[in-house]
Amino acid sequence: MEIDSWYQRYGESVHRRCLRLCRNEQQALDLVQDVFLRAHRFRDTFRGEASPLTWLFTLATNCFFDTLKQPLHIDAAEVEALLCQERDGFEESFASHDLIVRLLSRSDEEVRMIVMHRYFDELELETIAERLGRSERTVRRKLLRFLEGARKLAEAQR
Amino acid sequence: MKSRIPRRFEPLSDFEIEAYLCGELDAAASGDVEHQAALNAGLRAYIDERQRARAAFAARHPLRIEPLPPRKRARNLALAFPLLAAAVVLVAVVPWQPTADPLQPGAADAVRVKGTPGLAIQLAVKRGDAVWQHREAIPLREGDQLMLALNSGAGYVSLLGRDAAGRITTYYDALRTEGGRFVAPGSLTLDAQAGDELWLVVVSSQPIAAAVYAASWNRGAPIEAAHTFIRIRKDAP
Repeated sequence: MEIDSWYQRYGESVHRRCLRLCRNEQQALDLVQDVFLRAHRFRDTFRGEASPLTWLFTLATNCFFDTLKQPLHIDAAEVEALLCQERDGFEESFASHDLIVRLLSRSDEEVRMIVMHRYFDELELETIAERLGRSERTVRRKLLRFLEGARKLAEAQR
Repeated sequence: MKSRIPRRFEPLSDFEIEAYLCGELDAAASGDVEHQAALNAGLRAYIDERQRARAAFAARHPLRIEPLPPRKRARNLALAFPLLAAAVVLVAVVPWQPTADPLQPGAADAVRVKGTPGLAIQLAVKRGDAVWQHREAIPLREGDQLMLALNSGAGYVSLLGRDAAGRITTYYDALRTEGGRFVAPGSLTLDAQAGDELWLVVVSSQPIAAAVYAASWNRGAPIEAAHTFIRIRKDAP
């Protein structure tokens, strides 16, 4: 792996992902550097089972949440407003909301991957299950639990 | 919960579009994306905008990590030790200016790039308190610090080095120059590895990655931009 050529090819896509996580341009640029530094350090662990883009996005997610010293603040009213939307429209609003990242700061790594694949990558449950080596049923269950956890968090803070 | 969530650009997922932009899709899948883009003006505009952003990103925000640590011949102090590098730059620049601004048109040791009027490239060497313009006749040593300066129009400059074993290292990757006097940030310190090194300075009007030039150089293909070679001779340690 030549990290320079990877940076040329994937840098902007990783930056876009980082920006969506950070919602701050400078932090996103710093995070991009962290991602490629980590990719460079651990290049021997990349065996090509996933595409480079998938691997770099995973690194971006891990780098971002690793830098958090504590879970991000969540406003109960925000969660409630989103979760109370019409069932069919809920996920669309949720996907574009930064609340998703704040909720993920309280989740384990596998849930993060599932949620990111669904709301950031817009993948089908079946594809997510295939990528993570889990059944579709398990992925669905974990996703529902994540959403339920968000709802309970909102209720607890009320 | 539905199996799929609504997508911004139906029927493509965000990941498929990213993979397409990164050139990860095979011909059939890329064709699907192109087909969808032909049907959807919003998607077409989005892809065009992203492709423009992709072309400029690496040049605008160069990778700050050292490219290939195990192979490196020189070390960019600005990257590894910012404070030390700042001190070195100050020490190097102050005595340098009174003797000769390397970018003045009359500077004797500037390398004029053939076919590119007005483009002059210089390399300054600092060893202890002494500072001079690089000349091939004066061999360099481990610990010598080199600073690249040039006088050019607005564009991008890359610096690559090829060691005696043929390994190519990128020292500066498409740094943006505003036109006129430009001094590359930091300095490069020669390490103890024996053997001469050939440096390639490339100046282009477009933000072309150094990796492109490295690939051309590696296979002996022409460098498609204004460029010059500087031989770095080293005394045996």
